Amino acid sequence: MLSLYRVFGLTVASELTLTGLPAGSGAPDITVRLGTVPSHLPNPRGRGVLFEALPGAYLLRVDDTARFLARDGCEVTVAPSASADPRRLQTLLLGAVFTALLHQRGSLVLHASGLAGPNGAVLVAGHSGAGKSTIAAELASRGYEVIGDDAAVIVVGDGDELMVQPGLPQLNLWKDAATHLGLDDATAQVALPEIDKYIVSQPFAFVRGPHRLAAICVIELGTGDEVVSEELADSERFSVLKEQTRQFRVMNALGTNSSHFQLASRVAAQVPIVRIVRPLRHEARQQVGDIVAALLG
Amino acid sequence: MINRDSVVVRSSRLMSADVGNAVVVLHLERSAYFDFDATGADVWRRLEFPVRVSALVDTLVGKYDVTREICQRDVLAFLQDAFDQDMVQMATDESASADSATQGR
Repeated sequence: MLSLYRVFGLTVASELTLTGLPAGSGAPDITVRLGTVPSHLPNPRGRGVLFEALPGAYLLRVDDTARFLARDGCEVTVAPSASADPRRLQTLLLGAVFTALLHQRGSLVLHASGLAGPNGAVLVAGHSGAGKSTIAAELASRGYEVIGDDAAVIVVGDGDELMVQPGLPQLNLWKDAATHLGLDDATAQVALPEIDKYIVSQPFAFVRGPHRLAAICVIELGTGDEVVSEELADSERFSVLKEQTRQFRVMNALGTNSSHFQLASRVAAQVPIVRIVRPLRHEARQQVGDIVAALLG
Repeated sequence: MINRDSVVVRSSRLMSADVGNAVVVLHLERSAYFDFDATGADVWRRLEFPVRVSALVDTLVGKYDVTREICQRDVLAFLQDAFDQDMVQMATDESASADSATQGR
């Protein structure tokens, strides 16, 4: 029995029940089925501890949860293990596995949260712990709509414009960040028991459709006490996008470098990219929020 | 070794894109990425068609505030590095097309 969902601008037909996603309609772009998945790919072009990949195929193996095989940007086979936690299964499917599918489809997938304002979409990129989700929550609490958390999907739209597709309608916040934002346990749902993160969807508003990409911020933790921002020089822009690409090694092994290069270099050439260096303390989120809000309009 | 009489051209196994004044390059077979700042990008753009190193140096000396000696040294270092990374190849002469340049390597 297949249910239809909508995420990242795609209609997904899935045998696996997915929670928290809006319903989809029409012909599916991606089909997720339960089935058998091999433990290895023949002659993978790249591999990591948990994955193997070659052009057209991506295998993810997480022993206590499932094996996943993603093919040709449109098909996923899932073989769950007996003890699989359904939340973890969904996190892996919509995270690592969908990132591989999106690479196969020629999208640019950045490690970024996204917000929408009058100027369009502003992405907040950065390494884990830089505060992407916290900043997104700060802006969401100021009334901006959330595009997504942790994964931002950029495509070329029908009008040949750079567009950001809506992600999962939730934010993943560290417990202390949720507390600082005044989001108590009643609105937060514990994401995964072993990490201290909350999945939060209320009381925020999430976009339903694509938004034109207006700007990208890259957040870094600095040693100083002030928040400092600067627009990146031409020579830094592409390498920052490359660094912020989700699963860059997987993308290399999938052999989709040329479409990644075309899209990333176009974004680098056309979209303002601002580096924001912030101190660790929580209060800095308001100043960082002001900078992002100015870009959102 | 590349010298002042060499004729050089970009390798055909690349994608290249302008980002403002800078240029980014992907080597398709090696999945290797390179970027050039404004000056490097200016030199890179002049390698789209085969060019003799001495002629390239002449052009750059006319454009930048640099002595011929230093310009030639820097250009040769840049080209040798690019050649070692398979981003630049030798061509037979300036009139050669990119295709025949590949064969003439």
